[in-house]
Amino acid sequence: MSHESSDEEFEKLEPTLQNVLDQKSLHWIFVGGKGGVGKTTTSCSLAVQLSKVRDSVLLISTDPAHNLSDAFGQKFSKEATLVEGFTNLYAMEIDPTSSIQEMLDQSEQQGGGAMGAMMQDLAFAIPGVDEAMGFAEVMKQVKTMEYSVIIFDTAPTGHTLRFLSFPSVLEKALAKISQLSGRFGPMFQQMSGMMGLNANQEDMFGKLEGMRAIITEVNNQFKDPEKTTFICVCISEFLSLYETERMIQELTTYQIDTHNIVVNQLLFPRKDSNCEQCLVRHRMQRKYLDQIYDLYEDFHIVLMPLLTKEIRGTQDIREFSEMLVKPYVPPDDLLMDVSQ
Amino acid sequence: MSLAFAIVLVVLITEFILWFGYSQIANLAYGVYLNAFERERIQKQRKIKRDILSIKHDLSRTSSQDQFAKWAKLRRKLDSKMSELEKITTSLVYLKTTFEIKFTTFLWVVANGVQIFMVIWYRSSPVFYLPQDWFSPITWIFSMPFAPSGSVSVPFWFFVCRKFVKKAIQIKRDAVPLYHKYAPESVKQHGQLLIQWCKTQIRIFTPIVVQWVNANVKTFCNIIAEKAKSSEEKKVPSPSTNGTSASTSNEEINDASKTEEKEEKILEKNRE
Repeated sequence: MSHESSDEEFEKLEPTLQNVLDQKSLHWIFVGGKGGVGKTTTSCSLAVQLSKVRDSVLLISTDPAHNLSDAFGQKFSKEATLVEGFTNLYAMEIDPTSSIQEMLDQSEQQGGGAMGAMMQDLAFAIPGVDEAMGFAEVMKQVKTMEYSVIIFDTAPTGHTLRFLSFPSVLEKALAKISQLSGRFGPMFQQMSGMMGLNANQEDMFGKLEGMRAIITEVNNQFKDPEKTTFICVCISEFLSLYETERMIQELTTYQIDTHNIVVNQLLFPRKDSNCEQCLVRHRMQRKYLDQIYDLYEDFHIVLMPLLTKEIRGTQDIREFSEMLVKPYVPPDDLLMDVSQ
Repeated sequence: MSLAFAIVLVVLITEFILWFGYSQIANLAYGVYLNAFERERIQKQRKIKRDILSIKHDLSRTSSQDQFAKWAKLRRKLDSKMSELEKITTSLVYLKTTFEIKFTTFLWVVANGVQIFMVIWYRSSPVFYLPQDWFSPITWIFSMPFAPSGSVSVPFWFFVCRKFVKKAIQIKRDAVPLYHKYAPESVKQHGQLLIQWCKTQIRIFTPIVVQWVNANVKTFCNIIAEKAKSSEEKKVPSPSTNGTSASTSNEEINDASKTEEKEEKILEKNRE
């Protein structure tokens, strides 16, 4: 499948993430894609570029593997920390399991011992509850502090999308619970009085109601294309492409806007290169890249090269981030024209 | 005596309904109802199914590795058509369930309601008079609730008829294996021929009858509505004439697809 180069230039959307930088109303940006494609690098680079044009940027990672710390070479925690070398870029790493533990310890101090144990069992029994807790943590942190834009570097597993659908699920669950609390509240109070538990359940249900309001607000914000967008990162190979397609369809069902794809780790071998692997791989990548152009006509498709060095440390990230806004032009005359 | 025969008829019909099965009748009625009122939905469902088959066929011929873009686009179309099909199918299933519940209730009410009504209405009328010598001391049982002494009362006559029909059905059921065992060959052959002839006749006539019913069910409904309206309001029946003309045009439009559906019905009946 070959295109006319001049036609293609006119039809394709601009191959940079400038549109993200330009859209001032954006408040939440998600960067996601399945394993090893370069999400952290992309999200860090995007954060660097955004910090130039926004008041304050917060970069959050929910991946337990602490990859933000590795990328910037600086230790981050679950409190927002200023990144060295920047004035308005903050980073935060949330560990979901530890946040649950904290919440349970807190509730144990407040409520009765029996209640605490029951809640603990309940908490770990429900799948995805760690994601939920991470989400709750994020909401708490974010509601109190003001940032112009928040970038989420998502975990490589498929849990990302469940996390995004979580607001609507939680909303429904909380609606049911508050219904039930209205009916069973007095009986529950009597029972707990009988058993000697000190469960202050009015307080509990009050907190749930408050959380429900926040959740609804968040849900609305995520579905608003002016406020939220999702950037898919992939590599030019079949499986990654397949996963990206699936992810984009799921996002569409969740009504979350997505119109950017970053294709990473692209080879730009020289014309006189005699590396067999490079040439073969380059051809394969070219093939899938053509498919990407054909399938995602209304997406911005950003091509990022495979560099000869690893991208670690602030300086490397800064250099890499330039390529997000200025399309990469390979040094000498090449086997591959970007326009071909 | 007409009362006696009326009661016998009612009992026969009720027992027949019971024997045939409420669900069977409901199924048949549902088929008629679908054809009459839900034609567009069925046609839409069929069209979506055909589209899905063609898309699946194309999809299997497209290699996901080499033509990923085309494959993904086909996949997207397939997913959206499948969700459409899902929606229509669930709505039809829901329709079927509600219709069956309503129809079964209606049937039950009619069958039992008629009986109860007759019992109450004719509570003190005799069905016929028995000669006193037959069952002499216990004749008061026969005239149980309120009938004049020496006669047979309606509820008792109902009871007798029902018992009789049930026994008859049971005897027929028990007799079948005995027949197969003991009847002489010639009788069996004639019996077989008779059954074949009956079946062929049914096979020939049922589609015609069903077609006729389907063609005219709307007319029937409109006639009934007309009659109800004219007896209630005594107005000029102008809306109903519109109704009848619309139904005839519907008939013309639907005649073409009817043969196809009749063939399907025949196939289904054969499978049963």
